[in-house]
Amino acid sequence: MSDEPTPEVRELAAKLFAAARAEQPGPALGRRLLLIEPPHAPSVASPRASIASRGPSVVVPARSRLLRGLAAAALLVSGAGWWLVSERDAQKLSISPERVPGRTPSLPPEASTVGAPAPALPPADAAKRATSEPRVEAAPRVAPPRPSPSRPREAPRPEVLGTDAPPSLTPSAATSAAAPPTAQPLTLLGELELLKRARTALRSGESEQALELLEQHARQRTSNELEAEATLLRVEALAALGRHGEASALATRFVRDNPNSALGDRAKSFIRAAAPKAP
Amino acid sequence: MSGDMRPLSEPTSPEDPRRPSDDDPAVTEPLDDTGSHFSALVRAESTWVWRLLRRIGLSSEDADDATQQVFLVAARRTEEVQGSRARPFLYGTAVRVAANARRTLARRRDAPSEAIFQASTPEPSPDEQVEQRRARVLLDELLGKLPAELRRVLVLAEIEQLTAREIAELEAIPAGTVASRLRRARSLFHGLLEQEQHRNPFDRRCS
Repeated sequence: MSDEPTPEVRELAAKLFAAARAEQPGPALGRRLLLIEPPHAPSVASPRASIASRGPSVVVPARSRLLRGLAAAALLVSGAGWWLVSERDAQKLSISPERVPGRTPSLPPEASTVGAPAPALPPADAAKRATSEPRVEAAPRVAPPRPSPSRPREAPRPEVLGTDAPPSLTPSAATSAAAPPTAQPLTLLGELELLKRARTALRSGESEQALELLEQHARQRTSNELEAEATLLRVEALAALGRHGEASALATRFVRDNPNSALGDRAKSFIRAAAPKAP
Repeated sequence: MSGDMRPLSEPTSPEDPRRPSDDDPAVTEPLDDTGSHFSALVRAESTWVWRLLRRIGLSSEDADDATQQVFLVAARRTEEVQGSRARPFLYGTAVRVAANARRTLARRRDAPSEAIFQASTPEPSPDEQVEQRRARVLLDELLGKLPAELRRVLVLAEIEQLTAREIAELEAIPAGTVASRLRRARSLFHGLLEQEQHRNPFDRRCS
């Protein structure tokens, strides 16, 4: 082992590292990450005194806490259907190969180019510092640029990472129930949207509607990417409708087929121990 | 050692949090900003987390899963992913998740469809893509021979192009330790590369 690398070795090393820098995850990763549900902060009210400690959090004057409390209650009831993975799932730290062995996810061509001109995330060497200090400040997007003050909650659009489009989707039970089902095959984003609506319906207590949306998804989906999330939603919907036997059977199958899934434990909670055959 | 003050990825443009005042219409404030903060975090940080996991030794598929695990954790630990604490937290979580993954998972071969999923702009030519893949295969072989902590500092310095101070912050070690590890890592890496070049020159490698 020489003390100093030769120019040839140096050059080759640089080439190898450059190739590593050029590698990017596929767009599917971004979509999976945006499905993660951050926990709702029930006491997100931040009186001025605690700004410093909480960092970027919602800042609201104290006198409005009552209004916020009422609105928060309404929000929880209506169900923010954005995220498909609940907080409980986030506790599971097992690696979750959602892919069923032998089945390759097939992305329809439009899924990889939908919406964004930019790739998943800007690569490191295209970056530049906006400020002089190396802060990773992901500042909250507080009200002024937002539209429509009557919305209780604004959630980012389920889109390919990298765009700066302002949030334009409001998950609400009313709109999800009213939207007509589409007939054509779904892009991955279309699947996402459909599952989001199913979840919203489920959270609003409209389990039949949720099942219909899930059935629509099953008919029109073109990929296997969201199969796990869809299955889990179906299990929940069935259970909500009192169809516990079906829910249990489906959950059992899910756990068997996805042994390492982060959603596995959640599915297991729906499995009923085999009872002696009922008459 | 690179003197670049390169950020890991393009930072989200910082917006000044609104100063609270009695005129604020409380009802118009986003009630739960956790969601948009989290998605901003995902947008800003997930690519480097994934890249790091790749060079720690996970396949593309495993890196996808591991990245998801990292952000599942981050989603629950909102306090710890605020401001300048975010990157060290994500980094530490990623290293831990990777360590667990390598213990419990058989290393999966990269899916042949990996090339389809690479949506980089500008898109390298097919020849370039093949070349880059070959380069990464060799790189991973070499990196795999380094002790873990040397591998990490080398990856952070050469691929993420961080300064010694930035690396020190992520690894929670003194900058001097970073410098000495980096020297050893480079020495080792170059030596292994040179050895490999004698055995199997890159330009003539088949895979």
